[in-house]
Amino acid sequence: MDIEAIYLEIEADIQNVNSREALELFRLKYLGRKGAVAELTSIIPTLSKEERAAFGQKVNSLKNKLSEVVGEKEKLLNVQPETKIKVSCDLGMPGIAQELGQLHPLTQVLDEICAIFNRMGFSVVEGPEIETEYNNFTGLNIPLEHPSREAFDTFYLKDYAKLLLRSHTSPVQVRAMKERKPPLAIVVPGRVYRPDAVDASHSFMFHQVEGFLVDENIRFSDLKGVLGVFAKAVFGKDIKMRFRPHFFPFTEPSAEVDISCIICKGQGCSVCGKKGWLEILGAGLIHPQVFKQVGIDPKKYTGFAFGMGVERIAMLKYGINDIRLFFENDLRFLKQF
Amino acid sequence: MKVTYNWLKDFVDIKITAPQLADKLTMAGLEVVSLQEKEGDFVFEIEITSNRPDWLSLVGIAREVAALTGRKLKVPQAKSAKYTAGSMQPLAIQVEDKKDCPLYTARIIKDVKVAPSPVWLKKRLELVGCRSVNNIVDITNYVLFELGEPLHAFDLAKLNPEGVIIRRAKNSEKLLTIDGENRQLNSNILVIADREKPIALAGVMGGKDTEVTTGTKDILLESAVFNPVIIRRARQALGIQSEASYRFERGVDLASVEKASLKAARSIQELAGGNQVGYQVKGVTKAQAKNIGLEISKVKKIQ
Ligand SMILES: [Zn+2]
Repeated sequence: MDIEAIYLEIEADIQNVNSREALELFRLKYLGRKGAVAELTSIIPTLSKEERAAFGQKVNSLKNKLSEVVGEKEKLLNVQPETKIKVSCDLGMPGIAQELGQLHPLTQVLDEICAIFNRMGFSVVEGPEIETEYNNFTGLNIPLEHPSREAFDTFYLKDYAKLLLRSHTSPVQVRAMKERKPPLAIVVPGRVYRPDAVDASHSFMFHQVEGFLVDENIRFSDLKGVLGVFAKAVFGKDIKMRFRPHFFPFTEPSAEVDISCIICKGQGCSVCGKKGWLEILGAGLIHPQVFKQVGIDPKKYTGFAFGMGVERIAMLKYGINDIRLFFENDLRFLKQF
Repeated sequence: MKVTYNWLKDFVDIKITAPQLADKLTMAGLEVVSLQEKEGDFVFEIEITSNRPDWLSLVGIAREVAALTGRKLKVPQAKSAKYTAGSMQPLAIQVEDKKDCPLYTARIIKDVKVAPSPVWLKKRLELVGCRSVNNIVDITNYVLFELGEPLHAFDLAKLNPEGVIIRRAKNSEKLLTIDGENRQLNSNILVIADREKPIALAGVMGGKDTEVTTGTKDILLESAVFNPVIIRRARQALGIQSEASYRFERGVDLASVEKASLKAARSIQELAGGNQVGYQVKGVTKAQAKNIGLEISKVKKIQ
């Protein structure tokens, strides 16, 4: 076989290679198991000793040349598609759609909660996340150096002794009741901060919705009615609700509110700790001391207030078991809502 | 706080099962966060809200159980202790500021035999999460859990016999507490001291040097009430939380001070022998009764 002739053949063949498939055929023809190089190599044992060395070298050079040619062509083919598309652009084809963003699951739940209360006549009011110590504590009947403050560990601002990151949305109660006159029906969505170590159920930042209603003759039964409508709207018509006596400094009487477990329907499971009930919020009648602090006459007016964690509601509603998922913003999580 | 079913039964006849009782307590505002069957008894872990320090004892919870189940609360009257009269000079108690310590009592019991506690006592303490030490220390803890009044026993031989002073610590003073930590004190911290040095962090933790050990013969049994804010500040400054500080911070009933001291003294005589030789009181023994007006018509208005 004439090696020089093979060189010529290669040069002619490679000109016609314009796709990866063609290149693969080219490679097989020369470098494959039954290709030209293999054929030449198989001749070597039949040659005389003197001829072998020279011939072997020639075959090697050929092999190197082929690898070089294939490599170059490969590079060329890899960049080619772009230039090809430019050449053959079809202006009639639809464009590549940009992926649309969507509302974060917490925003969706927050909006849903506010919408439910809107329908019952509550308006949305917001307040600042940096608050005064007075609005966050004292105005809400939480005295300095009192054990009831233990429940509200708080981030204070470094160079401002009386300023803090609000530990609940309740300070907006103080602000709104000072600025406006009863009757009042308000919901307050917002971020709150507590120096909790982060784990599956705690975060140093989370969201609350606070609500309150102040008028003459507001009773505990009004609170039950409003929260009943809320719980059924979020968790379904078959949900049962119960009020457990509790203590909050800013309401009296106070209660924690449970709904029947949405997973086991009250039979007891791991989510509800075999109790059949899930705590969803805290509530009560506004403490007369809070009314006095904001200049509302507690003899004339009564009112109720409630507060809930939005993450908690969202976790129960969607069966999410780790609060951190809300803040990691992994698209695989967010896209499910 | 932890209580057990059998221990509650000392104070009230309970005719319902432990799970039924747990449910009743939860719906009355004493949220039972866990109920476990242990060693033939049931342990209730109850979350007590900060407005109800009266629930920080077995008797306090039993009072609630009695009300919830329509039964009578049975609290045995503390019998007065047996005295051996005239055998000792009374110990002087000096309270520097009665706002810090409205009531301090000291009872002296001589010739006790310090030994391990009997099994029933060890078991009850362990069920509510308290480690057994010896009969004297265990009795003070038992009374703390039962009546909600924290007590402390000192080894009388290890303190200056002239008496005790309840005072603010000096900035240079230190105290080795029973947990083995050497505490740097300051003037915000209230201490029990003898004539020379602090011997305990008032209402928080006792000192190592005066603790009751197997060699102890004579004890000083402290029963007192301290200012909640002082205790809270000391606890925060020193980073120690104890069963005692937890109760004093929330408020302890003045009327329980003598009851607890008597109850402990009787139990010590029963389990460790000894003679009562003195009881000293400094301060007010009764809280002033307050009238609280409640308009029934207003209650109905908020229902
Ligand atoms: Zn369940």
